[in-house]
Amino acid sequence: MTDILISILTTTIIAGGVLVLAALGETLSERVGVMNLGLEGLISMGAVIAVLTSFATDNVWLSFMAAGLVGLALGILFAFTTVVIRANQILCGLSLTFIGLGFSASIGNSVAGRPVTAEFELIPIPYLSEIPVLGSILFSHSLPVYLAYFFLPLVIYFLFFHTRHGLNIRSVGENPASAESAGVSVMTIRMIYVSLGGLLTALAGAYLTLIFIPTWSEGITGGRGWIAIAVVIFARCNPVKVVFGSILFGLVTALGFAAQAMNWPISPTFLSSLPYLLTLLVLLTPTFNANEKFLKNMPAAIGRPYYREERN
Amino acid sequence: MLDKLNKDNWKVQTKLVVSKKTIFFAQLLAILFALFVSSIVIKLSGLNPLLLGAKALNSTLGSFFGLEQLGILLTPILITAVAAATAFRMGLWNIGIEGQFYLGTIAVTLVGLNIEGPNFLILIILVIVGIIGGALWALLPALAKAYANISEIISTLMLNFIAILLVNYLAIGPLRDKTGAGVMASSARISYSLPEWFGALHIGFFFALIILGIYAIVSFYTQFSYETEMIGANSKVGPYIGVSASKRIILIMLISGGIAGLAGMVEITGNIHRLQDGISNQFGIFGIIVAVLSRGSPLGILIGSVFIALVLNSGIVLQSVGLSVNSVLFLTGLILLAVTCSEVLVRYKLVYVSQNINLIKEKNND
Repeated sequence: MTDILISILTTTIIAGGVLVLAALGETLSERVGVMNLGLEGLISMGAVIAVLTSFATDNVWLSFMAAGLVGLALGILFAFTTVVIRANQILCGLSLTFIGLGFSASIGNSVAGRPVTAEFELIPIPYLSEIPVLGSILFSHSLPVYLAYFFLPLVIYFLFFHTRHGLNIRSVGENPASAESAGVSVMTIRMIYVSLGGLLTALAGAYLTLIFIPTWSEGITGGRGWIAIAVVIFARCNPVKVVFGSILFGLVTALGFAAQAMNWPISPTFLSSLPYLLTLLVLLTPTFNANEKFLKNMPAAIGRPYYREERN
Repeated sequence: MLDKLNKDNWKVQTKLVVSKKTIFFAQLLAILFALFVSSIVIKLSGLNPLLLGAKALNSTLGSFFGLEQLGILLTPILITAVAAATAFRMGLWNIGIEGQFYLGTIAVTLVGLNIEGPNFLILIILVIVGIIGGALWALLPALAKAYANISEIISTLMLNFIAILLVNYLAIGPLRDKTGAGVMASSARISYSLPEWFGALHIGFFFALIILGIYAIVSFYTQFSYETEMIGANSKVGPYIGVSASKRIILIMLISGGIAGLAGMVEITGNIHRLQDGISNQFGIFGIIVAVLSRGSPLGILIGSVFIALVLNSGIVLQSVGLSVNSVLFLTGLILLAVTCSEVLVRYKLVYVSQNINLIKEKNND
C-alpha cells in the first residue's frame, strides 16, 4: 500500500510541475493586468521545440532553453499585440492558442511518437532525500522539478511582495493610472512580465516532453494550459498558492492514472473534470456569499488595456 | 524637413469615430497579411503556397463532394456565430458557446433515445430540448455575472471543459452503444434525423439561414436590440430607460446559450446522429471568431462563416501533402490575431505636432 501511495504522490509532483511552470507564467502576466488565454498554444510550442531540439542535439538543457527562447519570442509577440497595440486580450490569447497548436502540429508531424532519449539527471538532495517516504517523493528529482517547485515560486513571491519593484508591478495590475502618475512605466512593466510569462509557460511544455511524457504527439498538452489558468484563479494569483493548487490538480492526474491501472471504481472522466469544477466553485462562491474576500486578491485591472489619455 | 524625421514631433492620437468602410478595408488587409505570413511559412517548409491554395480551393468549390462538405461545416458555424454575436452585442464574452453546444447535443440524445413518435413532431420537440439544454448551461455564468459581477469569461470557459468531459463520460459510459456499430465509442443512433437535400447536406442549413435572418431583423428593427446595446455599453443606462440591466444580462446569456444548444441539435440530428467525443469540432470557438470578424453584422456573419468553413475544409488538402489537419489552426489563429489588431490599429493616427509646442516645452524646462 505504501508503495502505491509513494508512486501516486511522486507522479503527482512530476505531473504538477507542468502546471506550476505554466501557472507561474500566467501569474506574472495577470499580476500586471494582462490575461493570457494562449497558454495551451505556448505549452504545445514549448513541448515540440524541446523534442525537436533534443533529436537534433541530444542535449537536454539546450532543448529546455530552446523551448524557453521560443516561448519568450511568442510572449513578446503577445505582449506587443496586447500592451503596445492594445488589442483585445481574450481574442489575442485565443489566437495564440490556435497559432501554437497549429504550428506545433505541423512542425512536429515528422517526430510524432518517437521516444525522447535525452533526459535530465536525477539529483537527490543530500540528507533530505534519505527521509523515508517524503525523501523519494519530494527530494529525488531532476533540477527543473526543484526549479518549478522551490526556486521560481519563492523568487517570484519575494519579488512581488517584498521589493519596491514588486509593489510597482502589482500597482500596474491594480490601477495603471495611479502607477503611471507615480512614475512607473506601465507599458514597460507589462511588456517585460507578459513576455517572461510566455517564457515560463513554454518551459512548462519542455518540462512536459522532457520529464513527464518523453515523446511528442498532437494534443499532448491535453488541456493543461486551461487547467493552469484554472490554477491561477484558484490560487488568486499568489505564486506560493499556485504551487499548492498545482499539486492538488496534479494529484487528480495521478489518481486518474492509478484508477485506470488498478481498476478503481471511480470514473477517470470525473477526476479530469475536478480541476474545472473546483475552480468554478471558487470562482462562483461570491455569487452565493456576499463576502467578497475571494475577489479581493485578484488584480483589478485584468483584461483592460491601458490608455494614458483615458481616466476612469 | 528635418523636423518631420524627429520622433518627438510626432504623436499618436486615438480617433473616436472610424467609418465602417475603413474598418472593412483594415480587416481585408489583415486577412491578406495573415495569408501572406502563412504562405511564407509554407514556402519555408518547401511547399508551394500558391499551388496548395489553388488545390484547396479547387477541391472545395470544384466538386460536389467539396461543396457538400462545405455546407456541412458551414451550418453549425453560422448558428454558433449568431449565438456569439448575440452575446457580444451586449458586450458579454460568452466563451462558453462550445459547452452550450455540447449540452444541446446531450439533451437531444437523452430525449431522442427515449421518445417515440412521428419524425416531424419529434424534431420540433428536439429543437426545443436542444435550446433548453444550451440555455441551462449558460444560466449559472449568467446569474453570477448579473448578481455578483463575476467575469463570464472564465466561468463559461470552465463550463466548456466540464461539458466536453460530460459528453465523454456519457458516450463511453451510461449511453454507450453496446452493438459496436459506431466507429468510436458513442451512443446508439438517434432515429430521428433532419432530412437531407443536397447530398449529405441536411435541411439544418436552412435552419441556420433562418436564424441568421431573425438575428438580422431583431438587430436592425427592434427596440429590444437597441436597448440591449445601450445597456451593454453602459449598465447605468438601465434605470433611465426602465430596463433592469441584470435581468437583461441573464436574458441575453440564455438566448445566446439557447442558440448554441440549437446548433448542437442541428449538428447531431443532421450530421453525426450519435453522441460522441469531439462532436463539436470546436464549432463554438469558430463561431466566436466569425462573430469577431463580422463585428455582429448579419452579412458579415454569412461571409465570415463561409470563409472559416473554407479554411477548415482546406485542412483535408493539407493532409494529402503530409501536413497535419490541425496545421490549419495556425492560419485561423493568425487571421484572428491580425484582424483583432487591425481593429485597434485603424483607430490610431500619427499626428505631426507643430514646432510651437516644442518651443513651449523648452520654455517650461527653462
